[in-house]
Amino acid sequence: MRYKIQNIFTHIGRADLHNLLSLIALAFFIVILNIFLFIHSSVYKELDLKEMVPSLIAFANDTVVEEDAQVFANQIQKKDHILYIDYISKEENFNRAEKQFGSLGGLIKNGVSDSNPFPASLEIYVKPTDGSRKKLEEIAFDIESYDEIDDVIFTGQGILTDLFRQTNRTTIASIAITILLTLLIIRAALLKTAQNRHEEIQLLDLIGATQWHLRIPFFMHGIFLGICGTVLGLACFYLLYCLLTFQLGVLEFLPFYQLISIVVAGMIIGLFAGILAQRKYFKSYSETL
Amino acid sequence: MIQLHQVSFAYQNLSVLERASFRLERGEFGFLVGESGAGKTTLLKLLYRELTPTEGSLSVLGQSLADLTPSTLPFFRRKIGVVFQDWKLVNTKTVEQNLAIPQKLIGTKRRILHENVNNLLHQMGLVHHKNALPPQISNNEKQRLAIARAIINSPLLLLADQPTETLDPKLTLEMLSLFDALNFQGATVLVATADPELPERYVRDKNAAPKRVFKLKDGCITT
Repeated sequence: MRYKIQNIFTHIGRADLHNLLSLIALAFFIVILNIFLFIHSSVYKELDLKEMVPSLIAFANDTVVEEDAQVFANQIQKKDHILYIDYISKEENFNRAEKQFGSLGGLIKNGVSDSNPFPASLEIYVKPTDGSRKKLEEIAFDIESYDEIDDVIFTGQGILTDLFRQTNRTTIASIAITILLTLLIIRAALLKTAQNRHEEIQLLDLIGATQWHLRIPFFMHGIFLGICGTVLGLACFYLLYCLLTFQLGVLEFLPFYQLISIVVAGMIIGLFAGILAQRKYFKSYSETL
Repeated sequence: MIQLHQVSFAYQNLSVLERASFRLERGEFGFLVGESGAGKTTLLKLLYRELTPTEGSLSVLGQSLADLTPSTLPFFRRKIGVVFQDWKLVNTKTVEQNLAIPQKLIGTKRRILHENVNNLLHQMGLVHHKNALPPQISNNEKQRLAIARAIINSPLLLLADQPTETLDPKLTLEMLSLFDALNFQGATVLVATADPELPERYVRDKNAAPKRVFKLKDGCITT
């Protein structure tokens, strides 16, 4: 057992420059991946916050009385894309404005003491699947066509949803590319190391080393490169984050579970690369015998 | 112990062995004599199953080589000590580490391993080079290291492929005496050599017991 462990370290140690180069390459790709994950995570957080905000706000005409507006709201709510609608009366909007403007609120109240200039509104929450900007424009156009509605405004959720979907696609693509590149880099490093150790592997085989004994260093080396590459990449990314914090403002670093997932993924990819590398190496090894 | 029956082997179209047969009993010491390119190395490679014959059957240490599977092959090889013609020393490991490889492979305890390694280093006159790397020692010393590595696990069968090729006559006889001592302890020994007079010279100069001699010529073995 001790020799098996020693053999693993010998295998790893023999890689020297290839190890270093593959670690740098891995770290580089992990930094790129993390940038995408970071953007994705930030947009997701924004979208999460925006979920509490309506997608559209429709302002009712001043001529529409509250009862009619309520009936109209119920009528619109039956539409496919609408999740639900909150009716906000003129008074409620007035009170909100008063609170929103803080110390200036009193000024507004005193200035318009006789009449309420704020219209009643419908806060429209759209189903998440229909949250794209294009779909929201269609819904807004539809609602605006009713006589009861004076104007419809967007809250920005559509843009954010589109951005989230786009970053989602980009992040998935970057994950796939990083996995592939990591696999290829580790596999290449392992094969190069095996070539360096060819004589020793051949000797061990001829004097009675088991297949497991010969192959396990490939797996362990793959795992080692996977873990070290991802940890190095994360460290570089954290450094980058710290350097740019003042520009990024309140944006938080990647969540802990995501960091752990990246390292575990690196480990699994490393193991898989080890399996591929040893298969390739021993296939060509047996052909040369 | 070693039994070849009508064994043939060819590298693609080049036939090396043609229906070769011989038998070496357990505890015997044999020389396999043949000119360069006669197929001595090929024959030894067949015996430790680096190569498989194109025809015929081989049995070594009571084991039919055709029945060996990838999982049983390593344990079969551990019973055999091989002095390779090209030594197969690991250039990145020291003399001491090279010598320890077979012991580590079978899981020998550290204390016993050091004892065995040191004894052999002394016996082979390599103790002063124990921290040197193979490229830093002479061919003669490399040869001795390869021999030491082959016998360190006290194998049941020792196959030596021209083990005295680079040694001077005095050291040649000393190394053969070492094989003889291993043989005396019960191991079967087969030494391949291109020198047809070596078996006779050894027996004469060392006053050793007569050895069996197998001659390999044109792919056939004669005694």
